[in-house]
Amino acid sequence: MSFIIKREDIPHFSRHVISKGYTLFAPVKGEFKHSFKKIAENQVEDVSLDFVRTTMPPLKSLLIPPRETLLKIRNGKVEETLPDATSRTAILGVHPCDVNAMSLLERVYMDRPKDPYFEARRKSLLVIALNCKTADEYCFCTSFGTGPSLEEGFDLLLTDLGDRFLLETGSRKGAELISDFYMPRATSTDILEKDDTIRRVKGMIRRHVNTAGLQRIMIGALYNPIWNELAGMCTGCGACNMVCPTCFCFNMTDEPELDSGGTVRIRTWDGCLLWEYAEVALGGNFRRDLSARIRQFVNHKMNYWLNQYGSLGCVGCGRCIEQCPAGIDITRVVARLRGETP
Amino acid sequence: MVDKLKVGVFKLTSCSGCQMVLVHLEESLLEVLKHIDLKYFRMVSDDDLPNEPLDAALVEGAVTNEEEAAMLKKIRRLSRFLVATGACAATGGVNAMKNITPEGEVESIVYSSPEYVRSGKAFGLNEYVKVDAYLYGCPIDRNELVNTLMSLVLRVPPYIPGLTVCMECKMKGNECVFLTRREPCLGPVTVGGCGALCPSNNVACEGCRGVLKGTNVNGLVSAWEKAGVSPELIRIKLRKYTVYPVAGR
Repeated sequence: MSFIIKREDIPHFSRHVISKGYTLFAPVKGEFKHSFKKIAENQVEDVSLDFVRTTMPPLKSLLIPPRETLLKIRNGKVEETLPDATSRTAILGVHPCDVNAMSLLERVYMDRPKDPYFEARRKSLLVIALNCKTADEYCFCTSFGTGPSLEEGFDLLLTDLGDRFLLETGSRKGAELISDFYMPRATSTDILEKDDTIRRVKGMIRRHVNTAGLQRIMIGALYNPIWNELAGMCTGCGACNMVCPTCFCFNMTDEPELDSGGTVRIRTWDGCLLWEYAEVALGGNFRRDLSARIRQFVNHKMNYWLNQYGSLGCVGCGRCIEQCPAGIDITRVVARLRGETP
Repeated sequence: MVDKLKVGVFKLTSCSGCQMVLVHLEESLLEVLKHIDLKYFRMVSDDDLPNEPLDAALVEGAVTNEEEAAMLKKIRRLSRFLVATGACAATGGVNAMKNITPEGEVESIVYSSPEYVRSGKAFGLNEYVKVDAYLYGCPIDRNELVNTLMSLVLRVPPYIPGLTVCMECKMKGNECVFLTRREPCLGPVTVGGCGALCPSNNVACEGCRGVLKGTNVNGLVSAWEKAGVSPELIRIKLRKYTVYPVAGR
């Protein structure tokens, strides 16, 4: 079912979502960029759907918080601190690349063995996606079929048609949410306009990764001198790991809890660019050189994911390119390995 | 219940700010004191250097003269576990700025009567003795201090995750001060754990927690140069918290 929401009704729609008992996250404009923020009922006017890419991979941080307590150990008893399964969270304005990244994370966390923390959060999450109405110099989702529009993986889907949004339902949960929110039905003209918008955005995307036979090429390039060259530029900061919506690695630490005399087990985001990541007992390390760590990052996305989870691990969001202090560009790395660019 | 941990808190050349973090633990301090026995803490009591063995020594400050080196070696002999506490103890800290200027120059700028100053070059503790663990930062982080003390109480080695300030900044969803404002931020190469305190307040990281193993300072400096950061500003950034020896410049 398709409906039309007037642009000025987005705050009203946001308030409707909150009134249904959801904790709402939506993009808010910052000094330079948009980022996803928790929206209280009196903040619905701040919701802004005019953005190319948000600072943070929003879905990843809602499903696997950067730092979370997994369990508490008190007086010899282990108590799991699972997220509240009855809570309801809605995220408004997620772009197709990020929705697809969430589907990839589901393969990682909801296959055997299931991660109960991720699963509880995923099940309580309602996704109101937003097809792209523009693209910038970092976008390359068309290379992976992960954007700029979405066919599945959402509860509700918005498309910006200028003075109004087309709203499509993708699940029963989505349909229920809008069942008592009055909107006019969309017409065939609206649908045609949506198709035009998406065609126009596709034409704006300038960056590409040629994925044909990519795995074979990546395996053949494991000893290519490019990795050493990149290690000279790379700062080793791990920002790419943090902003990547499909990077899923984590570290676990036990911390003493002073007041109870017990211990809490904490899970935090981790990244393969770090020295410590491949370090083992007695100081052994499988990836001593930064070149080996960059090679791992690029190969995991463009090669190893295929064997691990059945598809490439990149959605072409462009965050790792945009946020790299050294200006390393994964699309250019692949193009050079393919001999498509000097 | 395990025995109380016998702890000494010592100070070499430093501002005492890291010891103050221990004093300022406030409500946590009382909990911590249930598990540790403070045998020496000059800031709160006038006792002489201890002669009995200690389970752990927290040593603040850089080593800048022979007396301090001798005192540090004595502390090392007395202590089963030695924690370099804060930037000065870890790398020499702000004091080590003077290591690359002619002797006496910095002192004559800072003090009105520099003839009373008795110190040479400033080094971190590991130039003289084996260091078992580090608490980074200027000053140290209170949670890391509590975790370190409690780990020692439980007789397990303290662990400070080896991630960067830049990663913590990204976890918070901050806008990048380098990419948006071209400010030279040391976050990409600096040991995290502070929760990206400075960049979260719109100030570029000064690198007070030291350079994280495995990061590439020269790669970062090249990125700064490409972004048009002045050589003078780069020199100041690398000197403030002893990043220059890692960068080899």
